[in-house]
Amino acid sequence: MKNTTILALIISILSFFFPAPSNAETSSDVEVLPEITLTVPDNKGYIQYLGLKGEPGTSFSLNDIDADILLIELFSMYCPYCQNVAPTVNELYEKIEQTKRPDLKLVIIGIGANNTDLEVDIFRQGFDIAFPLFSDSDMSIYNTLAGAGTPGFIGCRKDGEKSVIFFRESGGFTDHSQFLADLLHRAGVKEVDRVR
Amino acid sequence: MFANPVLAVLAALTVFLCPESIQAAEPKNFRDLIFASEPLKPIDSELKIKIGDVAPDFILPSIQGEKVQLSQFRGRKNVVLSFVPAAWTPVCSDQWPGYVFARHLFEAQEAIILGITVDNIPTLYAWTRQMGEVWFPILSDFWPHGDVADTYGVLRNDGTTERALVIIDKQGVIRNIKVEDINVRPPLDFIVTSLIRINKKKGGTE
Repeated sequence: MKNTTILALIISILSFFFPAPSNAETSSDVEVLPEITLTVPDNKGYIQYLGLKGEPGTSFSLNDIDADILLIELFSMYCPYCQNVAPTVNELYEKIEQTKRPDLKLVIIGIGANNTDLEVDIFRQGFDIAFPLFSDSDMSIYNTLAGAGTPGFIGCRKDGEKSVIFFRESGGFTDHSQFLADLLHRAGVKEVDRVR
Repeated sequence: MFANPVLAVLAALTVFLCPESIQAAEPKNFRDLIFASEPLKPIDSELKIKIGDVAPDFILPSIQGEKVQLSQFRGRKNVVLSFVPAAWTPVCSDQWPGYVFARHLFEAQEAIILGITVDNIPTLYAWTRQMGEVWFPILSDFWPHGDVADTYGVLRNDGTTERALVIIDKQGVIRNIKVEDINVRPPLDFIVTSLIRINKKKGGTE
């Protein structure tokens, strides 16, 4: 085999594994957050945190949540990995709350996949979770969001009237600061040290 | 080894870009060890017990090292028998971790869980390592194979058991039974409401 042929082979291998970067985000790259409705909770603190206008018991769309960035945690009370990462997710929530800034609101919610209200409450109380959790006993929300295991994390940002998904991670994490930095970086937020 | 330097570069690239071709893929975590089965026939047995019966007594070895007899809890604890089909299967592998986490609910209702499968002790021991601090006995109904499950009527035709819950009060009487679709995890609500009902009745409020 001639050297030129071998070099061409090397180049084609490299181009397969490291494709040329694209500067333009094509429309096919954008994953729109699907329409998902939840029930407005009774807890007034949650209503305020989510910026909801409806009365408790009425329905709202995930897109109605007043957030520039919405982080959705898919969890299950039964999942040992979700149990293990819960304290770190609490640290993430605390970090976000302690470093608010007026021009960027980041909100976290949890969706209890295949969990009843009781099971979600046990998880909430067991880890003293301050952000809102919702049950998804028939896994319809999990499936609509194309969940890929628990724990899973889906980041959405507002894009006009709709929200787009820009972040998907399955599995836990150990460093909440690094996770937040990564989330904000992938959201396109330049200043990553403060959120509203 | 490589007279031609270009070939040497190509070989190095191959190793760098395709490490799995030279290294056996190792499981990343416990989930990678779970057998992914197809959906099974929801229920494949006929119950031999009913609500109001005295629960058939049994003695089974546990992974904790001691033999456990159902009747040893008579007068002391309500008992939740949790039959699950088999170790290393998807739904079973996240059912008991929930019970581990919800320990306070069981204790509040003066209840103990007895987790039962037809697997042998070493298999159960290995499988339950990832479930945290398992606070209830894990029992092996391995030999005679599925004898207890058969007595209760929850032994399936393939030798595994149903995903079944049997709620027994302190008098040893069966107070509730749920044979769940084997492909589905039963909600914790069934256990909690059953135990609350037992304890309310004991207190004369129901």
